Amino acid sequence: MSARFALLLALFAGLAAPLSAQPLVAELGRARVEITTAFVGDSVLVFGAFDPPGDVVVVVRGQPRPAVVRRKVNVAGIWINGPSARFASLPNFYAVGGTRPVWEAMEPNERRGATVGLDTVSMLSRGSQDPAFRDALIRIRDTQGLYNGRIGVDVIGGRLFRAQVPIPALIEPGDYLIDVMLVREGRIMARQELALAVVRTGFAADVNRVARQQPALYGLACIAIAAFAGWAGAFLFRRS
Amino acid sequence: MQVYLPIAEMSVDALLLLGVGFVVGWLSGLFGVGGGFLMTPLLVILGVPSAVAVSTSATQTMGASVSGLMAHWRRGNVDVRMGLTLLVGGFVGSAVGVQIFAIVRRAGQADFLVAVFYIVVLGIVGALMVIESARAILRRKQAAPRRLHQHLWIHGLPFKTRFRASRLYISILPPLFVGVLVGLLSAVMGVGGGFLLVPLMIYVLGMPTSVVIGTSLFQIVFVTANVTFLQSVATQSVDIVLALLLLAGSVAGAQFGASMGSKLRGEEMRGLLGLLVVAVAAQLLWRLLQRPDELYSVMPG
Repeated sequence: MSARFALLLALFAGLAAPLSAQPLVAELGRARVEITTAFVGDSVLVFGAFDPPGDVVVVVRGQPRPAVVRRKVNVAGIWINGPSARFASLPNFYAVGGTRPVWEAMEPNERRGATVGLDTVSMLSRGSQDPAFRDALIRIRDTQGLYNGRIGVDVIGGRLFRAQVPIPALIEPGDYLIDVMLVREGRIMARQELALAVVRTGFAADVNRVARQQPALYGLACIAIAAFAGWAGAFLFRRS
Repeated sequence: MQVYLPIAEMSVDALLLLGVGFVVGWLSGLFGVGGGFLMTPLLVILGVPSAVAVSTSATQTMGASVSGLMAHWRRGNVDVRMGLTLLVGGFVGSAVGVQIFAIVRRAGQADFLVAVFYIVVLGIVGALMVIESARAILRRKQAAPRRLHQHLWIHGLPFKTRFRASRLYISILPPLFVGVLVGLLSAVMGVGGGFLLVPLMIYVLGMPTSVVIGTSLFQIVFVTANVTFLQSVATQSVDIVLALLLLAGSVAGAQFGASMGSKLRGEEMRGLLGLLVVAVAAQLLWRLLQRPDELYSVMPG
């Protein structure tokens, strides 16, 4: 199907339903996830409306970060970190899902162009080129909830959709981009990008900021606080 | 009750940390040691990164030792000149140790370095303690009169100094060397080093037992404070929230342990402590020898 025809189709859809001029409207339950001292992970609701027919696909992307994957090897009976692969730029978070599995809903080229699916994310490494490192990386990040290919998108009443994006406890604070796509016959018809901010707040944020920006001051404060706490604690719990 | 640790960047059960602190504090009160050598491996088993476990354990050891030092100071059980000599060595040792740790951490071998130090040091010290206390228990009946201290080769070294409170006139080099060694271990293992310092002070330096505990606490408090500061700057791995939770548990536990410890005999106590130390070393060795469930690890580059 040509892009022009797709545009025509979208236009028709617009004419048919003049109240929703766009074929896809998406919104977040909230645009901010706060990491407090009691943070154990969270989830963010993505919801909206679309003009059927079609599939809704949701991709959440984090920031590119370098990472090292190491493999333990047995040296003289002892398990020790051995060969490593250094990835210059990996998303620190990647989650994807759709009303149908994305490889069914989208054409391979379209999927690659829009980097929908972990297999489309470029993972170039220096050091060992063994694909086992890439597989282990994906496996470990999947267990940690940082790479997630199983976001379910539910359709309600044929026109509304909703998806829960789990935010694991290990999430790195920063900006995340939520890419919502309407897919018809394998191609992206409409697309909307939403911004999600993950921020440290409260005490945990202050501690982390001071530790990174004023390490000497932080070290001195830790000494003073621990010494006082130890002294006060021994005084409180004295059993004589 | 889950709590998010701001530096370890993980969520842990606060009650579990209080419990770990209590048990380690109880044992340290019972045996009169700081307990850092138990704390660091336990934190690693709980999933705390090695670097954070080592640094934070040093911070908690310092907090836990402060009140003990104050009590011994009031009773005049601290040989200040000896303490300062050990401390000079300790600062050098911990500065070197923190740098070694930072280099090894960048090479991805921090876990291995910590494990090897633990296995070697705890294995040797624990075994010596068990042997020594077994001999003492066997010897109890034929109580041979012991000399105040033995004259070893180290007493022939130059730069002799008088340590009045310890009633010693020895070279300044052995205390400096002991200080460097304990400071190094403190930085790499996150321990105060009491389990090593106390036997070295008695058997190598020949100090009288009355001032050994107070003087070792003096050295421990200042060396662990120095490690806390240096690790904060070099690796930014001191987690104050974790340290305070452990501290709260350990100061409570230490009081119970201390009142129980006063009922045990010295040799038996050293024997039990030696067994505990050997058990920790054996457990860590076992973990190194066993094939890990996950061979791969991911670290931020």
